[in-house]
Amino acid sequence: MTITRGYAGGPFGQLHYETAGEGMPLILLHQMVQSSVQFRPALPILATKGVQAIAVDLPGYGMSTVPGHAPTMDEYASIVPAVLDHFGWNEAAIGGHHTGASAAGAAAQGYPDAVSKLVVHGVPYFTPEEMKAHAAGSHGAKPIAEDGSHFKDIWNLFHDLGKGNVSLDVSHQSVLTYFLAGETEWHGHNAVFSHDIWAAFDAVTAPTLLITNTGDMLNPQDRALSEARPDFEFKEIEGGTFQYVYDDAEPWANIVAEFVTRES
Amino acid sequence: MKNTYIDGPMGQVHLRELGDGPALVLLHQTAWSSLQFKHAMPFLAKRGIRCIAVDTPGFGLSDGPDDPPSIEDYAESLAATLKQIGLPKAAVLGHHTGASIAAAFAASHPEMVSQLLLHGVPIYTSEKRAERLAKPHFDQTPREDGSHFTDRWVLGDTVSGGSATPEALHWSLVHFFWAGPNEWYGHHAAFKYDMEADFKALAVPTVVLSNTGDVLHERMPYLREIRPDITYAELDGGTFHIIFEEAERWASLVADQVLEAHS
Repeated sequence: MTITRGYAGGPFGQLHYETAGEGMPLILLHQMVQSSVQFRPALPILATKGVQAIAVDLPGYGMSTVPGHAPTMDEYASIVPAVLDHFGWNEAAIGGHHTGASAAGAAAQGYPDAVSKLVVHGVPYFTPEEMKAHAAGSHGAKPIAEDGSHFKDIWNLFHDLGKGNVSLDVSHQSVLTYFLAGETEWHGHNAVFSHDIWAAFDAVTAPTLLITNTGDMLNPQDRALSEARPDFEFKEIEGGTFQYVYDDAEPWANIVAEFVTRES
Repeated sequence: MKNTYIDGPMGQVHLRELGDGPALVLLHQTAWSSLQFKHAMPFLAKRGIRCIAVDTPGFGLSDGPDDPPSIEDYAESLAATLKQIGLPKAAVLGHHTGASIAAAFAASHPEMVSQLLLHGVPIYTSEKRAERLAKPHFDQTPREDGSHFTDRWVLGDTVSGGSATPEALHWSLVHFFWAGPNEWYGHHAAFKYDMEADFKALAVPTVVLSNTGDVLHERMPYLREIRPDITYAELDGGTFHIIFEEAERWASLVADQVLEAHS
């Protein structure tokens, strides 16, 4: 199944996306600091299951235009109607991973008529105190070092976060993708930590699948969200890392496709 | 800057466009992409030039071929690309491998080239080409400790004689790993290609550009000897990343040449 790439017009300029196949539309939003590339292995698998996924580079990431200011989570969510317009659809399922999950939740809150189903995995559903503590953290993008050591630093960051359980290829591609974000790489996390995620997920009316994996750093937050919204379908996977979507695309895509194509 | 994709013979081709005016197609060196012209395009556009920078198949965001292509294959992809964006004739500029593709394109499709600009012309003796083809490739396999990045950085720094800027080395390295096997495909095609025959026979208005700090500058006397009839222009100093590193100075020289030929 061939992956096709393209650009759609969006609220901050061009939106770059990757898509494959035909079927039930599913818009996928990635984690920080990555791009649609993290869904590349999943797209063809979803396509064989009757899902046309459109993995979008969030504004400022991958090949999408960099916004002139740090967007709010609601502003990131506003790319959803733009993508729907581009494809001529009235509604789609929305899937999101980490920061992308926060954006997907904001889209389900802000555009309930356009979001037919919601799939979130690794939701930054922190407590207000944790949000504040994270928000105070570093906003520093890694500058280009004279000796190239910034590559090693970012490699170590990805590699250490995976505790040695992420494949070398995925860590490698993640480092390259990280550098596409440039100096505004902090925008996405900034939006996460200043977003009212509790109100957003309270307001979700779309049928929702909440996926978590026990090896992901956001597993406790997923469990907290599952308690707050016991009506969400909850799927917990043993093990895996924060790169589950990228590294374990097949089981992930199977879970997502089953939910998205299920007759309600 | 407006980016687009078109469908070419090797899959999707990615383009960056900026400006209005006479069209100038920009072809990058190996293993870069159209991003090589990112800094230069605004200066060219300001001078009233419409820039179309193309990711060569297998580089940047363009799909790559399954097998190593020839320079002529890359040139055919370019012909299909320009036809699809409705550009029957344009000025075409290529840098290093991009210059090889531009020359092959001008040889096979002279009616599509209003002016040819070649910066860093990789015309080598057949012995030199054979020697370069036999050189071992850098192993791109990711290593547990991330040293594939740092080793490549050191190599890039060494090749530039320590004079390339960290930003140029950075993007050169990112592109190198993005390209994967296509990095070798690009160089393979360039060293297989007998550019001298096409260069001698060029029948379109041609400008050869060089910078004295470029590895290919030493070929200038020979080029002047075999084609004394075409235009030559050079910049002092600079590295083989001059287009990225000294965008304004470079764009000024290019705009002069393009606008003069157009008037």
